[in-house]
Amino acid sequence: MSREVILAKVNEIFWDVFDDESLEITEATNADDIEDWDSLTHISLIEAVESEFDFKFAMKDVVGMKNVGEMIDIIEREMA
Amino acid sequence: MTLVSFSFICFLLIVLLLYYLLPSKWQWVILLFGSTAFYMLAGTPITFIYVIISILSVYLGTHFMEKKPNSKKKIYVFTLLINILMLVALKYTNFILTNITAVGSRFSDNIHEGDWSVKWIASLGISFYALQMIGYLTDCYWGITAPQKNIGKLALYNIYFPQMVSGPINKYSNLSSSLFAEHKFDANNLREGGFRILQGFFKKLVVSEQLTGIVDYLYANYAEYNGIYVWIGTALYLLQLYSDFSGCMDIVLGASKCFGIDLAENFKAPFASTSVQEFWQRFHMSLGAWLKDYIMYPLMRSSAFSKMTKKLKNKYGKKAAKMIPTFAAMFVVWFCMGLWHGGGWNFIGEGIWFWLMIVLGQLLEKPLKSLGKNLHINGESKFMHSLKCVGTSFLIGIGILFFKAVSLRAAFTMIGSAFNLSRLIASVGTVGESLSLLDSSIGTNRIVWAAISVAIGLAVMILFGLKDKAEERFHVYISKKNFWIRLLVGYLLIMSIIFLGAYGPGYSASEFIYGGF
Repeated sequence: MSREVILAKVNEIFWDVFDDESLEITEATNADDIEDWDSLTHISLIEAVESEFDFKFAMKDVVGMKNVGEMIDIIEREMA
Repeated sequence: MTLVSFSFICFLLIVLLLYYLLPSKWQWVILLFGSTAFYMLAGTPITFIYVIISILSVYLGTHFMEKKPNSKKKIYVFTLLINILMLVALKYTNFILTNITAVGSRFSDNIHEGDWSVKWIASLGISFYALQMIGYLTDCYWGITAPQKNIGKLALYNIYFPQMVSGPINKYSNLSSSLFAEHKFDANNLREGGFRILQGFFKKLVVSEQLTGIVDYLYANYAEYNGIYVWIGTALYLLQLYSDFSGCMDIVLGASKCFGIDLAENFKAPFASTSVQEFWQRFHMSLGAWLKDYIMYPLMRSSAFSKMTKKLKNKYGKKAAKMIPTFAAMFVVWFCMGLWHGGGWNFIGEGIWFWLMIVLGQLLEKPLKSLGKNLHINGESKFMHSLKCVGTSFLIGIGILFFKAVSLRAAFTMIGSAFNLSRLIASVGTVGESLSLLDSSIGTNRIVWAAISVAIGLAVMILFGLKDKAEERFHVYISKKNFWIRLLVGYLLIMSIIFLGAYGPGYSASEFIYGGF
């Protein structure tokens, strides 16, 4: 799966979690860019990505992930 | 030596002189010696032993976790327990003993509440450095951070003197590179740091210290000063707490900036918040971030929580399966938040109050929005925004009332009288008489002086606050101005600190509220 395809799927997850289909995310998007991206929605995002791509994030990734790009890095690594 | 004292400024200048005059590769060593000296001057020297135990245990723990990957979890749990037990023993033993004797007194006539107590002295800043060490240890366990091989550098991370007494709680991965780096002399760092320190002295001495006597008096004599006085005392305490703690942070971050080291921000215009949840994302931010990373996330990702979610999903559906575990994890977080502030049921009461407000905020968010729509109220209008900010401050006020009250029972009595209409009306009539009584109890004409200082202080703090919100903080903004403007602002700040400030005995302000934790 290419990064573009992963990004598109992740974007759909964002629409679902934030209940906002106008969200256009990029790899640089981080919690400061989306007002509702707090600790609770962070966990919802993590869980939604896990069920979509069928793997579990390590605590290192849950705490350390800085932006969408890093999330895609981890998804790519897990899918490889 | 407290942070707001002439001796601290002299101490800072000496360390700064050595820091920039000696070869830069020794800068971190100078900070380590400076921090040890600070501990000896500001704390009880013998308690340094607890700090050493913490550093040694974490150093060895992270070292062995790397050497013996098969036993990583056991070593992590063991090291974690040493540090948690030390924190609990030094901070909470008397709270535990009081509760045991309180329960015991119900079953035996020989035991009375408060019979047992210990006189252990906790090490300086234990509530802050213990959290930093637990965070660092956990980061090493998760693999976020590589263990620091140099025990001296790890010790500096633990006891770095500007932040040791009152935080902010810094993540090792954010602070280490700057803390151990070589910094060239930069006049701009000194300018920004200097202005920030002045700003901190201003908030602390012109506002916080002026209010201390009045607030303490009203809270200590809550039985007499009820009704309207609870509202007055709590509004003043909210202002005092913010000016005290954010002023303290200005001094801490300003002092660190002089060394070229940026620490985590702890405040971002908290009174601009439109909900309790947002307030805690802007107030004592580094504690919130710590609780999120090391309590909230691990709890929500634990197998117990996964099981709970699955069960709830089968029984009550998707929505409940998401909400109930989240609220349960938040309860643990807020309980810990309350307990962190001190061993007392009033502190726990404060934590639970904020938890309740955040949960209610989340549950009522959608119904309130649709109600507003039906009533044709524009929730985004300036007026509604201001109303939400005032409402949030009101809810925060009730929370900190628990925090300041002498006991949980006192807090409930105060809240009861504040909402009792007949008490409220009766107390309003006595305000004039009480003010003159109060004035004579805390010093002649103190109230008038305090009122003038606080009014001026508040106006200036609103100015600081507006800049805080606008991303470029006041000290950065002023540092960029030309020499004459900088001179004028510096002069005005120093003069107002001298003439409007309240000074305790010996011309050293009483300790910061948060230094006590």
